[in-house]
Amino acid sequence: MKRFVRFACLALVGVVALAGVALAAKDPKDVHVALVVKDLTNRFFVEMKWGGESAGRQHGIRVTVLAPEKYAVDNQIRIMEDLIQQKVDAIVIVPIDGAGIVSGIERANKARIPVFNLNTLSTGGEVIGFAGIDHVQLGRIQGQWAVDTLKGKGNVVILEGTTGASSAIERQQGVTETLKKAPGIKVLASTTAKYNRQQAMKVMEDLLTRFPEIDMVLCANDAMALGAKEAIKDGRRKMMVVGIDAIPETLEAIQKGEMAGTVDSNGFDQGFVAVDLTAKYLLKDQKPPKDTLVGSGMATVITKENALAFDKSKAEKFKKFGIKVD
Amino acid sequence: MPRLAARVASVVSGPIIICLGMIGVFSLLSENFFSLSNAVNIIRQASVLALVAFGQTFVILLAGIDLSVGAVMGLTSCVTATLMLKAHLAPVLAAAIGVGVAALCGLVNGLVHSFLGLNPFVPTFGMWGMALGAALIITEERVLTGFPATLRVLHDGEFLGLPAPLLLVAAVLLVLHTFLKATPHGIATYAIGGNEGAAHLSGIRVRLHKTLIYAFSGFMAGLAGVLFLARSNAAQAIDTIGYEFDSIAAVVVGGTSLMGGKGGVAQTLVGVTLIATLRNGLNMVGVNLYLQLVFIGVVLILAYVTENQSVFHFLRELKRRLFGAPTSAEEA
Amino acid sequence: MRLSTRGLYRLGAVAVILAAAWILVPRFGTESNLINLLRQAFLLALVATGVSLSMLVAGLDLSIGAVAALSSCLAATVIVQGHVVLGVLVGLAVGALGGLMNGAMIAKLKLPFFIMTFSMMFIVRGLALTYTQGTSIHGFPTSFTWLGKSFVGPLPMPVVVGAAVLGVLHLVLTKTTFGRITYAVGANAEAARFSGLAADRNIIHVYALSGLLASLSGLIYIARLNAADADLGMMWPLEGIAVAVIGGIAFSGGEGNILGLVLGGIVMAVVGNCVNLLGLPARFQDFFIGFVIILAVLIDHLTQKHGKVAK
Repeated sequence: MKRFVRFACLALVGVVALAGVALAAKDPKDVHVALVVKDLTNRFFVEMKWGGESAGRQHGIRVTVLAPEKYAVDNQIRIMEDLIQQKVDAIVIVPIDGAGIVSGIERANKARIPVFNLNTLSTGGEVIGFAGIDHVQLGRIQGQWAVDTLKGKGNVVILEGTTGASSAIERQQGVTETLKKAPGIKVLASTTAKYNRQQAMKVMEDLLTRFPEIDMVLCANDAMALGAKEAIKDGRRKMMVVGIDAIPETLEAIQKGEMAGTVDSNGFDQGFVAVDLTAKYLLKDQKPPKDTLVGSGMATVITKENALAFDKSKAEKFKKFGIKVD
Repeated sequence: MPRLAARVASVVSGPIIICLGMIGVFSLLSENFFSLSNAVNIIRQASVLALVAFGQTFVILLAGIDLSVGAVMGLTSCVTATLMLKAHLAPVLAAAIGVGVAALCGLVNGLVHSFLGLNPFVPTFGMWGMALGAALIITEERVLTGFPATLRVLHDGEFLGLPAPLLLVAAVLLVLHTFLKATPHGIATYAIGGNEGAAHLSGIRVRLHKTLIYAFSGFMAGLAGVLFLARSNAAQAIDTIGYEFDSIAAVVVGGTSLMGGKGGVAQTLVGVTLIATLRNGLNMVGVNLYLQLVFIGVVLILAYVTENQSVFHFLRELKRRLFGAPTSAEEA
Repeated sequence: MRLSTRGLYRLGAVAVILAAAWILVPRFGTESNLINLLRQAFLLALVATGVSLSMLVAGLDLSIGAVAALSSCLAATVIVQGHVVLGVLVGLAVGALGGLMNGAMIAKLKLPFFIMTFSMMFIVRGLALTYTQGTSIHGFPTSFTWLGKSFVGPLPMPVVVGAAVLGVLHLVLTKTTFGRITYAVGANAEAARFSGLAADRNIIHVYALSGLLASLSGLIYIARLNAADADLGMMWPLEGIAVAVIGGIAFSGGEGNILGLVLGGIVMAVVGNCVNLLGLPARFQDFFIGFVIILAVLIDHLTQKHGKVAK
């Protein structure tokens, strides 16, 4: 009995102490917009976060950016449910899966919290608007560059993103429909490496074994492209590797000649536009357009010629918005 | 007065204290945490894990383990979704078949373990791979959507003002708790876990019993899979991977011993509540996503230590190691 | 090294699998593919060493992937600045430290291995992600990447390092007191304690070794990838268990040897390789692995019945 009381008192003291610290550190209340992305270990979404936060600063509102610890749409629903409990003013959601997120959006609808859909289209629920980059367009840019560079003739392999992910499906659609227009281009294989660097390295190794003649590797994202180029380097083969996302590591690889190019998927602008439109809706009652297409930062593939210039322009943009890049 | 307090102290285990402590801290740090709607929110989020963990409880009471439940859950949700989409079966029928498949997986686990004598890690781990593979093959690695929304009422619905998952979990809990504590078969489960040889000698048909318990664990995983489908309105093979470890953690943290023979579903409920409250609280307070993982790990260790060792034993042990003083009998 | 009947059966089964793949899968038997296969097999076997050791003492180390991630990210930060040796030492030290903590809590505070290594997995992964904030550390000097990329004759360095490590481990397990105690503790920890063996200390050493081997595997992986990410090793615990089980290491402890690990690595590597070479969708890989695991264990069980008394 005595021990129990002792322990309970200790617990109480601890709780009060923590509370004191917390209350002292509490922020003033503001308009609060939550941006939920897919995965914050991906530089693309980190830039989207910066874009969202920049828009937030411009309007003077509070923006928090969240991502699930596990790459599963169910975890995003859980985050949305918890945001509803926190009574946020609006949620900007980048669904890991457009259909799977619907129940989360509907819960927010029931709680009368406006939802803005970003980057990946959701298939249900009420949203105040959609903004995104056209993934199909990204695929087309990549495919067209491949056709032009190979002058309509050559062997290519494609590394796709996570099976079933809408971005992967759409990018694949853009690439394949463009490649089909050049009958001299042969797609030797098209397989998934799950948007993962290590997986891509392994798959590329085996593709190198299967096919002695490959001219170009088209990857649905940069992480896979970076894994593939390592395998190619180690295998002492020569071929062009193209990715999508234009993360800094890729730009370095392009300048070193280890990769041929990448496509900018413009995460920053997407985040910015989404939060900007949402803020205007909350503060000024301006209803966002149903669809806003954010353009690629560069309508062509970024290659050695323009990589430096692209990198500089991006750095300037970040500086303008006061973002500290480490 | 002391006797009442002693009884309270024996029921209020370490994990319960930690749970209450967490609720206190989170309530102070987040203005919306301590509300009815958030409590309902947590219950909904915990319901899937609760169902799986109840099944796992039975297996662990036998001193066994079921590593396949995460994949089996996924298989059930994928089978149910596929049957609704491709075979146009009625949702309830599709769900029943899905749960049946899960029970079958559990049965296979049980048979291989009980009658072939393999350590339960092995068949359940192999089943994990095969169930995951089967689910991936059925769905062709895609996400299945567009099926009738009938089942969603299991998760979103409300009866008599209470959320459906709460009623479901409460009903299941009541049935299972009664079964374990008050029926001969339930008590036999504890006996087998405590000492399998002795249980056998006392006439219990150990192998049959164990097989049925593993089948039951599969059945519960199937139910959890259906509830998961109701919650996310989409079926993807890999979505439920991870639940096997979470369910084991919930069971062990709640107070059921991995050696078997001790614990129960009521304790597991505490474990589930602890994990769900922790996750929700960390979100509500806005803790950095990556730091959340660190917190969860620390709390799990803390919860276990305060339950099975009881804080006092642990502190006594610590004192002994730091100061080398022998423990005296009166400390007990 | 004396081969038991089970070892012979395994060797035979692996030979059959290899022969079948050689005949049925195009380009399987090419020199470059076989080298890739060998490399992959030893990488997998290395990853599985830590898990296997903990399984030998009737435990399981679920934290190996997370420990590899944290240690390699920390090591990478040092390595990119040019201090290769220091970076490697930092990585190994972090791994050993993590393992030490696991072992100490499990042996001395009697925490069940599951709760300890499971929680450790969360904590360490969280630390790794917090540290890198999701960015990758890349651009290693060649004085480091040789660990993953260079060759000794026709053999890739991971194979050489892997074979060396596994060879040493085998000697340790079969010829030293430590090894004997490990098997004894695995078979029956209480009995080992009663006979005066330093069971607790052994368990601590085993888990520390597991952590050390995890970080070594991590270093080789990042040398090969030429980049370190905090999400390294997500599937390692499960892959490691698969390799160990196929290789004949028992969960109940006290059984299994290093040759089994190598064979397990080969089988896993062959399955993955064939799926890719045949152009099969990735999903078949998981199914095959599950199937192979059950097969391996069944074979073990059936061959066991002829010898020892079944448990």
